[in-house]
Amino acid sequence: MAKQTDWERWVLNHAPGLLLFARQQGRCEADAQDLVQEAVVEAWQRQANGAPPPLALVFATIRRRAADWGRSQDRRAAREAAVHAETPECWFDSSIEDRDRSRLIQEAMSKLQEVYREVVTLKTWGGLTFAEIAEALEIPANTAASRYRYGLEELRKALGSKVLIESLRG
Amino acid sequence: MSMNDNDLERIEAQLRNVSPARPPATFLQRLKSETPVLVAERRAHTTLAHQPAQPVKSAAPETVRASEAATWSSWVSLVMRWLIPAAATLVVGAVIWRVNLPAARGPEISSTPVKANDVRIDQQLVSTFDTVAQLPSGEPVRFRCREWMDEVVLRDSRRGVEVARRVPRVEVVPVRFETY
Repeated sequence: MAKQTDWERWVLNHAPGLLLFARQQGRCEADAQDLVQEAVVEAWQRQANGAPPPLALVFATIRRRAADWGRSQDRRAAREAAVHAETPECWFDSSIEDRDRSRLIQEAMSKLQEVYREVVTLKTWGGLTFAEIAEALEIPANTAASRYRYGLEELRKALGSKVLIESLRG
Repeated sequence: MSMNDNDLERIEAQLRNVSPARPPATFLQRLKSETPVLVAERRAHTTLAHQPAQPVKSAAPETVRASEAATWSSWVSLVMRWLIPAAATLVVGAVIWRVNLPAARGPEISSTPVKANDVRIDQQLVSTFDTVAQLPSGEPVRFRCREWMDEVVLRDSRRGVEVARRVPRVEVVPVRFETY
């Protein structure tokens, strides 16, 4: 029972970040949820001690599985159809007070190149260190840090003063 | 223009103020209900299995059904993960064995020459007779004809092989009447 409580806590803490990362892999919502679930199960099965899997491993598995799925023509066709059929998913919390800011940041993030976006996402909302990001993305830690900094610069250019003004008002 | 550290911290703070969207409740429920089953299953297969069982939390029927389905599917996947490679290995091994076996034995027999340790050559006179013919000039000629059977026998006693060849041969010798 204690383990299940730990597990529930782990899910509540990390599912939003994992799902955000999966959504950013260019998937429809159903694919993103499947990606997260399969990645969590796979990473969990690799654990020998039964503890919740390391976050870096789950993120890496999501990324690898997304790439595998991207190679599938059937899934690609289904995804394109789903993209046309569904409304865009909200990446961020869209409560009333944060709705505009969330929309601005999602727009800026969606325009960011993938190599920068995934580092910013893993660092900011995934809670990973640069060492863990390096492990998840199979890049050097210095590269992860420089991509993070460059990604923030691009975000600042894209956002301009909009978010900052909102922040000062808040 | 590159950012200084203050700009960096400010934009970081801005991003952190926005939380990722909360996953749908159905997805969270699905995620919660599946993975502990795997843990329980793994524990049953490890040395921790002998420890006293902990009380099981009662779950909703939907969760139980999902857990049973997850257990079954994970068990099947566990079996298939080992069964498929093992079966594939057996099939490949059998194919290789079947292909190589005749090929290995066939050339071994045909390519290795017979080493005869006993050779026997025999000539057997089957028949002999004389016949008379006449040349265009009218001169009579006598021919002595002999039918022979030549025989060669090779024997490799180590391998138990015997090769015998028998060839008939006709010998015709003209003989003048004066000589005859």
